[in-house]
Amino acid sequence: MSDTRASPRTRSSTGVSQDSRAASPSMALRHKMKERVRQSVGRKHFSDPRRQSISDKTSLPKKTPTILPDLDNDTPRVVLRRIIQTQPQVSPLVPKMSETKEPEEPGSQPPSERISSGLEMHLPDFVPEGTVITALHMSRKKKKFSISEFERGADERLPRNLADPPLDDNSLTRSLQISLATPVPPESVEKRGLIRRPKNRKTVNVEAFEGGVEQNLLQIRGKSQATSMIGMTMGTSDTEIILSNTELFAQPQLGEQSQAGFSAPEQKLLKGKSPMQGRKASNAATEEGILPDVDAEEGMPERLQKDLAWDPEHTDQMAAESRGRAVSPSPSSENIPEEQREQREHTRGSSYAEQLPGAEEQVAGVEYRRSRRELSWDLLSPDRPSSSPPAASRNLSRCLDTRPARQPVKSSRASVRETVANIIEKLGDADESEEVADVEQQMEDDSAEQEEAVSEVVESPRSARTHSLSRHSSATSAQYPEKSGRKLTKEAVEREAELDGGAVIGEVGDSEEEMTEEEGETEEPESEELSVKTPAFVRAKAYRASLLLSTPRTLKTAASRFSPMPPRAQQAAKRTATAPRRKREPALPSSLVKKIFSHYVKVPVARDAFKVVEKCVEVYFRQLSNDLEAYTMHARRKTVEEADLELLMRRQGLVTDKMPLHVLIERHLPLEHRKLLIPVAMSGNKVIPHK
Amino acid sequence: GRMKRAAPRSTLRNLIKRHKPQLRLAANADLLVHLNFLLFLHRLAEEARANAFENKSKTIKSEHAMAAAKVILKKSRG
Repeated sequence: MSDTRASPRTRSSTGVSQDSRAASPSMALRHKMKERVRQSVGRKHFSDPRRQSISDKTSLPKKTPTILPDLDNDTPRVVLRRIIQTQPQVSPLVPKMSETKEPEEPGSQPPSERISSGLEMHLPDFVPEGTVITALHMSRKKKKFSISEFERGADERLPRNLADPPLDDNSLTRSLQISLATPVPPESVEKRGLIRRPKNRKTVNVEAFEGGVEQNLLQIRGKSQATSMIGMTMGTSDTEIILSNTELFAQPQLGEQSQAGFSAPEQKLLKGKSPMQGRKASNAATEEGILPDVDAEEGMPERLQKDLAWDPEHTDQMAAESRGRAVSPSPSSENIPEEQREQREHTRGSSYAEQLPGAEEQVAGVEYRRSRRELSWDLLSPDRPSSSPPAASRNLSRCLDTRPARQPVKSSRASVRETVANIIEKLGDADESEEVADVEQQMEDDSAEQEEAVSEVVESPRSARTHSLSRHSSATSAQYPEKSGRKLTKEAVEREAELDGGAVIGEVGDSEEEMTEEEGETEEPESEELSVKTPAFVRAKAYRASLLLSTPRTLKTAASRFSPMPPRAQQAAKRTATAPRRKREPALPSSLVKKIFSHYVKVPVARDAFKVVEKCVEVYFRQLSNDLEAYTMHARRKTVEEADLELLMRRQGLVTDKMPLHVLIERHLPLEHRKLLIPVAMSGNKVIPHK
Repeated sequence: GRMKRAAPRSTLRNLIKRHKPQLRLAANADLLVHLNFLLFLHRLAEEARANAFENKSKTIKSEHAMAAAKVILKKSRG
């Protein structure tokens, strides 16, 4: 740069002299170029004499005094015009080049400097359009030239460009070429970039691939079991898969995916509870001998299903229940007493809200374990010969088939036996869930052909409970045909209720009506599950308690705990299940929840996660209603007002002094609702909505 | 973006009714309930997304949602 710095000085002098001369067109052109360069240079490096004279470093942007006279040539257009006028002979033709080259050679230094600087500055500087255009024509070839040159080497480009372009009439064109050439490198680079790089394809490692596939299959099966136990009515040969499932807990299979989804996380929670399982296993072993008949085994899968299904749904309930011994059915039941129970549960739930997560886990784990224990019992007691076949058939029919299907019952019975045998084989496994899953799978497979398999599954929770009861009344139940099997379920329910009385015989009458209900049920698995959830849950608890205790006394005590709940819950559940599409506990449309959640989360969401969200939403609504009730009661009112809602949001931290409610309303609610909530002043002294 | 779906007012009312039958709702209180619900989902979504990002996962898995649910439910207690 010192050269450039020096150049203005020299150039200025030379420029002046050249100005005077300006004889040859080329010299004039060169002079112009020099001036231009000087100007640009002067801007950057103020002429040394200037600096020295002025010693003003801030004078960089000023132009050198020598250039000042040429300032009138400021505009490139002017300079160019002058150039063109003064250089009529300038042409892109080669011969001219030689001419121009020669005179420029002595001045090659400065021109090179100029050019070099021009490289730097001409690019940013204007390029006279005309010359550019003319230069372009000739530079096209040079471009190609330069392109190839660039490709050879970056260092060689500039000199080559400088040396090669045969059409350098003047430094301007040369600079133009250079400037024009400079864009070439990117192109050449781009071209190179366009060249397809050899793709490195890793040869597929077949072994690794297959191994991964197997692992995936196992995982998928493990999950699918949870989610599609019920759905797997295809009788797929998932038995092996299920058998090989190493999950601790069988996934609840109720058609409700939410449950399954919840159970999936619950499983993880529960997996840590292995020590408890050992305890339960011991209990189960002790109880084994008590189990009367094989019904348990069939009932087990159902119960397990039901338990599993219930667990995720009502872990919080269970938590409350387990803690508070309150058997409160899920909100699914329509009965008022159930609602009362729910309220009880809610109060408990709210009191235990903090412990809910842990309690849920514990409860779910307990339930799971219990169910697994029970299953193990049942599996171990398939030998109960006498009552087992009828019981098995009954249970099978109950679990798997519709009433009319007797033959499938038998076939299913056989398959169940096979399943049981398989399960027994695997009893050694610590994973009882596998067994359960297997059994369930078998049951599912058996019922594959049954259209009401789903209903069966739905009933299974109920029947699971009844199974427990039916076990005790195996004698009576064994006599019943498949139809009565359902009755038995009802009976079992009744038995549960009457356990405190030690009455094992169910009420046939009730079972009958429940039979009709069951028969009538054609609800979707979802609705059934939902409706059955709570009662199933309750039943599961009672059932479990009864199983664990296994003695009439213990059953009594266990049942007494749940007695108020089970009958009502069961009845409600059955009634709800039977009534076609009985309003399953009103829940928000899942599509809405999915949509809103997906919108808020902005990233893809797994299906299982949706189930978790669905469950979470249910818990949330329960909490919400509790809180609102508390606030309203505190205000000695009976109606929840908007102030209560605002108080709730304030306590939740959604509404703060910095974030008023109205802002939230405007942000999240659609306009139609906003108008209703936010009073807007309209003309005519009107306020909408009217307050 | 998505069309904001209208709040299912009747469903919300039924939901609360089911939990607390003796409780009534003011005229437009269910809209605020819906607002609360949206904000709850919003917080849940944010938390779940944060969990997923922590695990360097581009999708929300059930474990992310589960952990988020625990936190947000605890936060949403009145």
